[in-house]
Amino acid sequence: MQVTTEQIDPCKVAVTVTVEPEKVRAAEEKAFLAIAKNIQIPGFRKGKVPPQMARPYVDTDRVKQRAADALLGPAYAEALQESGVEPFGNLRPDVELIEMNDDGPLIFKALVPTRPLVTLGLFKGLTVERRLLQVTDADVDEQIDNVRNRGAEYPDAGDRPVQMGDVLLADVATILEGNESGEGGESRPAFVEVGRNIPDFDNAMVDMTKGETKTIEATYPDDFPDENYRGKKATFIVTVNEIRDKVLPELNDEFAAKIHPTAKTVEELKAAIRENLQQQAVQMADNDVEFRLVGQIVDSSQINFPDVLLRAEMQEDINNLQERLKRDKLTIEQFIEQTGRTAQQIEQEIATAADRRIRNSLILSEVARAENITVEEEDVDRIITERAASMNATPAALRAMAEKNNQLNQLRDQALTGKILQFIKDSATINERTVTRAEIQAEQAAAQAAAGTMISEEEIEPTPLGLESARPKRRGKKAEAEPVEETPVAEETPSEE
Amino acid sequence: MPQLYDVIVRPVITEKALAENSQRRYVFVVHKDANKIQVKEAVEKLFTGAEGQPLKVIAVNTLRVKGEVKRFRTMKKMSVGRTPDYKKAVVTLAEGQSITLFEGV
Repeated sequence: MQVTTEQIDPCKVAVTVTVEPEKVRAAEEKAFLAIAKNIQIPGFRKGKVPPQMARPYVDTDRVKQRAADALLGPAYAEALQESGVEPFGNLRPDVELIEMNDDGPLIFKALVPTRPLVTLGLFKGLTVERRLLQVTDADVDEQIDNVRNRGAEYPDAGDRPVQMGDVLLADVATILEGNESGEGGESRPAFVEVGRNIPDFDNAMVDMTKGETKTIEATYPDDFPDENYRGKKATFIVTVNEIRDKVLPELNDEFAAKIHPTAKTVEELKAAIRENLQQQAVQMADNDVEFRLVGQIVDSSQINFPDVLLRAEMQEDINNLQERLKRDKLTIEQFIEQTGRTAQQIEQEIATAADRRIRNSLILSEVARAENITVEEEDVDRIITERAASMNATPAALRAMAEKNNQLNQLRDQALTGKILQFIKDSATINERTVTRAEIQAEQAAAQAAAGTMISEEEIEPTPLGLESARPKRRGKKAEAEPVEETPVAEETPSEE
Repeated sequence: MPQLYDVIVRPVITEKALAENSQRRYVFVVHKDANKIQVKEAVEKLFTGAEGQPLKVIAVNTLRVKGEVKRFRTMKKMSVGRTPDYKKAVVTLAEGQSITLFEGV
């Protein structure tokens, strides 16, 4: 056996192996006999056909294929030993068959992924800004408003004309400018909360009566959330089926006590929500600091890793995505349509995210190696104790469960990651800064524009009347007819704590 | 009276027939009217041994095989047909001789 190696890039070696003709012939003969075993000819029981007779009935390409399959594995292993190339992990190499003639040797080339190479850049004494979001009274009020909206009641308003703030059960057909004959033009039942849609639409709705049908021309405002719609004209055909008042629960001590487990008064409720938001802001600031620090190290380091690693990581993401779609009973096509991006864009996003994750994790383990950071049993214990406290379980029980589910290694990884991040943070200079929500949003928008949007879980909007079936299933084109809700940073209602 | 080339119709190639080969017995389908002497002559002339030496047939056993009765359904009624009758001959060669029935490795 002859082996030649060639370094293709820092993390990939091409190993070319030549297997002697005799070995190839022997393998072919073995493959032929194995295939001949399954041939059926009249006059013979299965597997009893003499090999000479079977010869014309056996496909030589199949014999070759089978012989090659049988040869490649052992030859590859032997070639690695002979050449001293160390493959990385259990990643499969790309194997290319170069030559396999009737009487010649078998030559194949395997692209072997090797260990990722990381040259650490600066990772100590970094400088980073810790941006703590300022929680304002407005944020607290918004949270309370959300809860009140959710607890709103919708008594029938009878036959009076529509007013601002009413909730209508209506059939709405949306015909977008330039898409007169296209999809979305059919009439669909929807909830319309007058006053939360595009202004032209809301203004035209006022004073309509029950049973009335009206055609409304409207222009999407320039600050509409979906930029594809901004400035576009659309025609809505609306039939009002029912008019309902929207009655918010009154904000008093009784309401406060009902929605929050500990608060007794409105003041206490506000304090609790503020506290909650504050915690989230701290959490967010900490995560952001870690993210930035790791990002800085990644940017200043040289990282090479085999592309099969990226593919494996992407495949995992894609599997997760498919799993999620299956749970939501969506097909890939529907998902693509919903996100409004092309398959290539989505793949690109997954690739970017996977690349980022791989780089981050490589960097972290390299820092750990450089600084001799290791995980001790007590670190794992600490994590378990923390978890147990938040889950209302005893540490021992949690540990037993983790052991049963083979999650101890995962916990160990988490403990290690935590320690590494702590080390990086301890050595870094962190400048505190307080920012407002508007500043953060502006920044995020800028970052998103630069990096492309990430796939996020669809937010679930509250159903105004609790009538699931009548709710239009799709967002996108229909979103303008539904209450468009700002997603606050803190999604949870206090009562869910 | 069948001519020489008419005598041997084809060799019988089945598991059972090939199993006889190790006993130097070879099985052929032969002309229905051929007798043992004609079969012996035909085999000795048509085949040659391993290194091209002439073959010596020391015994011929023949048997007649009746064709099977096959029933089949047509549009209106059942019909009955037969597969053809034929004659089989088991030829025994002299010690140390063999016939190559098919080429191969």
